[in-house]
Amino acid sequence: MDVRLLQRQWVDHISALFREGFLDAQFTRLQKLQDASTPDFVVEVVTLYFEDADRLLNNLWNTLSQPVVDFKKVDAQVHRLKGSSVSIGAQRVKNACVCFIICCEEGDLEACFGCLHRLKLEFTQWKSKLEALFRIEQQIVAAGGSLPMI
Amino acid sequence: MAIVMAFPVKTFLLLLQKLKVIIGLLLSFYILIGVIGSCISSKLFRRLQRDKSIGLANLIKQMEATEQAERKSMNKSIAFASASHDIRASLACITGLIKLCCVDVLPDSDVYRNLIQMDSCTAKLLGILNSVLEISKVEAGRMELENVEFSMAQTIEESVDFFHVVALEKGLEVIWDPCDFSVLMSSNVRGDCRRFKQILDNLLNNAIKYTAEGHVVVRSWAKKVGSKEPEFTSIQQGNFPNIWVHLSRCFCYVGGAYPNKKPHNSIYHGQGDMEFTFEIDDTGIGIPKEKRDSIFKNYFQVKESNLGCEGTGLGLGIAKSYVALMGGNISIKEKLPTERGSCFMFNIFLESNDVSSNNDEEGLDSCNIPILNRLHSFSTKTKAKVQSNIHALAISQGITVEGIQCLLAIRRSETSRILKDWMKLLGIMVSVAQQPVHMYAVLKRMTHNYSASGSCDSSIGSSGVNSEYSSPRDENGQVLTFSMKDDPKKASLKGSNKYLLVIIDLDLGDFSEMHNFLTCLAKGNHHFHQYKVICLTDSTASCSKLPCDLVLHKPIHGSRFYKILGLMQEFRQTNEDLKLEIVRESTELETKKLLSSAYLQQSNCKVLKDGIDTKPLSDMKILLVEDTLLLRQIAEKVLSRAGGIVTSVDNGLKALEVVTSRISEGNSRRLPFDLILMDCQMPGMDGYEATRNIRSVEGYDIHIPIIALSAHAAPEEAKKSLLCGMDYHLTKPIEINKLLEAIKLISQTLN
Repeated sequence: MDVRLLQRQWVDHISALFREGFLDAQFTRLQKLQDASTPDFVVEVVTLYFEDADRLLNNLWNTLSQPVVDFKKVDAQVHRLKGSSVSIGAQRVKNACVCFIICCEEGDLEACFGCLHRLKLEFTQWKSKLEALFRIEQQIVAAGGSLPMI
Repeated sequence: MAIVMAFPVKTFLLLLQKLKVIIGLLLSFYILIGVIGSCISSKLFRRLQRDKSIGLANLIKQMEATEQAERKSMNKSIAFASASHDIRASLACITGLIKLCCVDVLPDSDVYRNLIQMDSCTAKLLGILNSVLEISKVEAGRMELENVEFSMAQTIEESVDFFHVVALEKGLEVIWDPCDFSVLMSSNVRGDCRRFKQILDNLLNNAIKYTAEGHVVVRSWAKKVGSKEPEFTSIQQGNFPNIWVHLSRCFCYVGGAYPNKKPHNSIYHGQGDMEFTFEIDDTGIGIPKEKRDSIFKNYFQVKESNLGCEGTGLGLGIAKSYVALMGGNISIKEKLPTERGSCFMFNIFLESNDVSSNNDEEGLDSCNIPILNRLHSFSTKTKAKVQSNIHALAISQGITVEGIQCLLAIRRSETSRILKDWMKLLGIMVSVAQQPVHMYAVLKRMTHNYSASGSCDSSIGSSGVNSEYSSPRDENGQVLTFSMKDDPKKASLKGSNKYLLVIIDLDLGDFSEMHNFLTCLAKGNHHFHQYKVICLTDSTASCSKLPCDLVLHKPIHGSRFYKILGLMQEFRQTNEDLKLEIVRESTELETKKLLSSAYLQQSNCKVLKDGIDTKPLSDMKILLVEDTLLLRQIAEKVLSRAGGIVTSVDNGLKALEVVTSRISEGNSRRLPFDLILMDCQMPGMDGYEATRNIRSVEGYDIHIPIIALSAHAAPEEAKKSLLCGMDYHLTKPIEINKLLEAIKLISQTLN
């Protein structure tokens, strides 16, 4: 595929991510940190985030499934995920974490499960969209092009 | 001796026969009476037994009916609470689905607008459900109060600040009157902060809702509940078994039913508990007397006053439940016939966590606790003691009020009154100008007409301002009055008045007059050696209109007092004074800061460059302590990109080891790191503990700036960071601009 078309596709995709609230300004700051010495910085940190978030979501499920639920532990885990989401610019995941924290504070198990479901949904969506973005980036680089500046 | 009675035989026999009959008749009569009597008594006894049985049966029936009704009500509440959870989960789902739908539609479309409307309605439903759920939790006995540390002063200030903004639209004045400052002195408590805030917010919300003009004032007092024996609140006192009941049990046991059952919610106020009392006083439409008892019932609203006012009528019911759970009582205070509006009063009991009340001196902490919290011997028993204590406090903190006069030009009456009386409590002479144009005349009077009799309240432009303030109260709740005439230390305030503090309310308008006045001040057409100007405002836009030393946003309460005190402290801090300050007695932290400032200069502390710089951190040696790999990588990149030389560790213990080894290896006068960025929440040794340990390892000749990094933006987190020895608090993720600002502030403080 033509490099310019790929670049256009990349711009449209990332613009949509910002417009739809998947990404916020923190992601732009991460992109600005990427330079010649660390050309894959954004991919590396996003990959770390995928692993971290996956693990935290599994832990949350396990914690909530206990016979006696330790809401403080749940709260700490959600806070951790929120912190990572804020640092990576995953705005909607962060918002889902905020709702989850409220339910944890009230000790509402049913609502917590509802929030966990929503959180998983948001994270899965976010992950698939970022993976799609990175695929386009790989295609651009493979075609000899460079990523446009936003 | 023998006595012989002789009767003729025949006469004796006749007599005996007659006697026999009589005796027989008498015997029969007695037997008859006995039989009749026993019949009657047995009947009576049977009747008594029957009545007793009937009475007992009725009582048992009544008790069973009551228990059944209570059980039904309990079951209903529990069922409702469970159902509410299901409803809430469904509403959360609906909210989530709406948000997902919003993604797939165009922002400008009708569908999008409808979805936003649905989201808003769902949020409202959730709010109503939360209110009902709270009540059902209380009724079902499932409400548990949280037990967290919080600052009462900060919580009150936050609530009042929030509602001040809300009330601005209506032109109302909303302010917190600290009265005798006892709340500020006993501010650190343990209890349910969230629910206390709900109580206060509910009452403030109602006050503002039902007030069209005037003001809403929050008054507060704190009192230690210092009895050795357990105390019970007046709510429970009336329900206790008394001696008569004990005695009556001995004589009249009726089926095991004891009157005056001990309430199961009795609250124990042991040693160290604090009682906080609040009044929320407004100048609104008031509440009719006949409605006052019902107003705390759930779902009740005073209908005729409800025009255009939203609400479900649940707030006061919930507030009452929370107050009761905290051991207190809520009521409507009677106002004078000439006063309009209503005044809600409530009290709660919380556990004091204050350093001063626990007599636990910690040198490092004392600098970080607000100044007024360090009144150890404060008592509200006498007005003279209140006044002289606050005066002595100011002196003990290096704030000598001698020679300071204050000129107030404040628009709102309550703000003016509170500021005026606080200044007078400090021992500062206060003059009030009602309008900017009067400020010249007042200034002239202040400089020329000062007299020892303390006629300091030269208020011009009003119909006569009463210089006595009457809201502080003594132990009997009687209002105390103050006057400079009663000040035992007035003699010490004689002499030259060197310092002038001008507090101007920008909302008075007439900026040109204010500007002219300040220009006149600057030209020195007065007898004051120094002057400082504080501007009060509601709007950020008007901040830059006047040259001033400090801008404070209204309402003026709580932490703003400390800022005013801080400015007063600057009156004497000329260059010469700063050098002399090193010698004076100070806290550990003060000494360390002053010493470390000298060493920082010697150790080639990196001075941040102004202006545009691609490497603003200029080779600063930074220790980054962060356990999450993702966050650590991002922070390392941000810091190294900005020119920092970063050493990373992933827990508090390793941070302590690194710092300790570098201190022991290196030059004792050179800092091992220029800065430490410390994550607060880490497994094992967290950031707070690591900081305390680093501080103890540093000794007296080193102070490494430590900035806390936390995911939480709550003021409590910031305070916790400062209390354990950190210098600043930032929220994640790290932003280089905020970091630079923090570094600048820290170096200014240390230098």
